[in-house]
Amino acid sequence: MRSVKIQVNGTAVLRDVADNRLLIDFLRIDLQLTGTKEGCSVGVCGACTVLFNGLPISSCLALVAHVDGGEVTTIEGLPDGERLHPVQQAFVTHGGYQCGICTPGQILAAKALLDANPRPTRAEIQHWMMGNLCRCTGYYKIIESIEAAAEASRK
Amino acid sequence: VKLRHVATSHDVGTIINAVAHQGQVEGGLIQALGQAMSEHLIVQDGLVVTAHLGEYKLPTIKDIPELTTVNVRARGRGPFDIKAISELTNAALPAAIANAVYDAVGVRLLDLPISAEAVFLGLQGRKLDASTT
Repeated sequence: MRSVKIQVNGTAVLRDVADNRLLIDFLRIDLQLTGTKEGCSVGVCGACTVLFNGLPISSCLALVAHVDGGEVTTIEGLPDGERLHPVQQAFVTHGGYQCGICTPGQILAAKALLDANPRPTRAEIQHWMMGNLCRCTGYYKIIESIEAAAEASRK
Repeated sequence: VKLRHVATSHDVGTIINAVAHQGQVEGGLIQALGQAMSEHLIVQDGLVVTAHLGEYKLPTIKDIPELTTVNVRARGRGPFDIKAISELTNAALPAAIANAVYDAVGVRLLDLPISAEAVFLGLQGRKLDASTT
């Protein structure tokens, strides 16, 4: 066991966790933040993507101990009250999701992209997002959604 | 084998939600692309040995071709003249790619996925061993 202190969606969380506690189980079970989805459990599908100090990581591969002392952002941390984050709104408007399982990971990865590169080219979007698999959309509308979110942030 | 461009035409009725309709077209097509060119559940001695999605090889966002979609409006049988879309977009692409390979190099492939290895062996008049691939 170890005591950890993590900023989760802007709130300090102090917990005692087992050394081998996975971040995804900590988020979904201990904190009841079930917006983060588990897909493949081996770090190839991107469904479980969360932001650690602003950068996307697979929470199915990370231990809670890895993120001790840092900031973790999940999909629950993006809206401002009832108001969706611009990337979330773009995915809704432009059909960037269908079944929804990959969507929290797609949106967090896209947010990290736009934070790092507010005006990505289509090729840069495809390169950054290739770790997030989607079975439903065929990806075209995910690209459109990210381009729309980038466009909206310029206004 | 590289897919450069896909142009599809669909016999549609009244489109009720244009964004969702196009999403069904695109999603069905890329599922067909995966089926045709990369997705493979390998079974050896009765056991599935494809361990996870990375080995099964779903298409990623980098694998999608340029796409042109043409909707041909016809009268549907449902209310508001609607017709189905979704799965219908999935059907034609694997055969179209196999035909394109045949047209290009004269190799007739009847098994999916259509891989560089299968085309290479086909050019030598050989076939992939289905029990090991």
